[in-house]
Amino acid sequence: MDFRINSLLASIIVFVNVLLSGCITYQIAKYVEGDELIVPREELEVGKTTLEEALSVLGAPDRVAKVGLENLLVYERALLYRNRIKVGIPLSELIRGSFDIAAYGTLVRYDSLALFFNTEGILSHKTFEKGSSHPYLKTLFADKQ
Amino acid sequence: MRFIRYIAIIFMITTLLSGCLVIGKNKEFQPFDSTELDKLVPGQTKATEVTEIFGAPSKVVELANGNAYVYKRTVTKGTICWLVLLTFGNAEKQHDQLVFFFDLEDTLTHYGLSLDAEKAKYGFPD
Repeated sequence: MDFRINSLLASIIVFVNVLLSGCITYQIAKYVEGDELIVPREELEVGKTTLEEALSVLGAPDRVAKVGLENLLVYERALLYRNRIKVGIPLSELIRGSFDIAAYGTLVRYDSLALFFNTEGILSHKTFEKGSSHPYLKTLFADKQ
Repeated sequence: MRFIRYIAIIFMITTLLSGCLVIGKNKEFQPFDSTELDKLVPGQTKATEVTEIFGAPSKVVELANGNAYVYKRTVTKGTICWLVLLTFGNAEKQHDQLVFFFDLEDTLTHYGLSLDAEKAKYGFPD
């Protein structure tokens, strides 16, 4: 019985020692670029909304581009999440080198609103994708690209 | 025995919570002043007048019926916290952006303004 307790205690001490020496680390990282994108559906009507109205409602676009005979305005917000776990056993005192194993998952999701305006400055079509509504783990491990 | 247990728990907690906190700020500066927008009149103001007031644009984009001049400045605020087992990293980048639209005669037709740089904040990932 004493031997069992001592073994357990020794195991805990070794385990804690390994943890405290920085051999196991877990990292959580988040990066956000751009303000939250709120799309006022009623104020963006295809065939009716003008460029001036869109600019007054949404402000300056993040990107502008020429697409054929139309102008494209893109409003975008990027959200990056990364989780990383690293386990390392420093063996340099015993042998040359050490043992490290790490795993990480990074997911970047975009909330994007694309507005196409014709040369008269009228909204010809629009598209909105709220990437941030997709959950981190489910999206990261989904088979679908 | 109880005293030793308390000491061990306090030692464990202080060890686990010991770490390091770093905060940082990056700024990509562009000295445009949005209050100067009052001087502009769509349909009259020329591209040269805009560049005289706001300086050189960060980017010029060719459009289907003219050009767009983009003025942009960004602020990024980052926070990193190292604990014994956990590391938290958080960064937020926000920008102020001013986009002028010109027709083929380089006359200002529209402009859009977004002032979000001040919204960048320090914090932990949620």
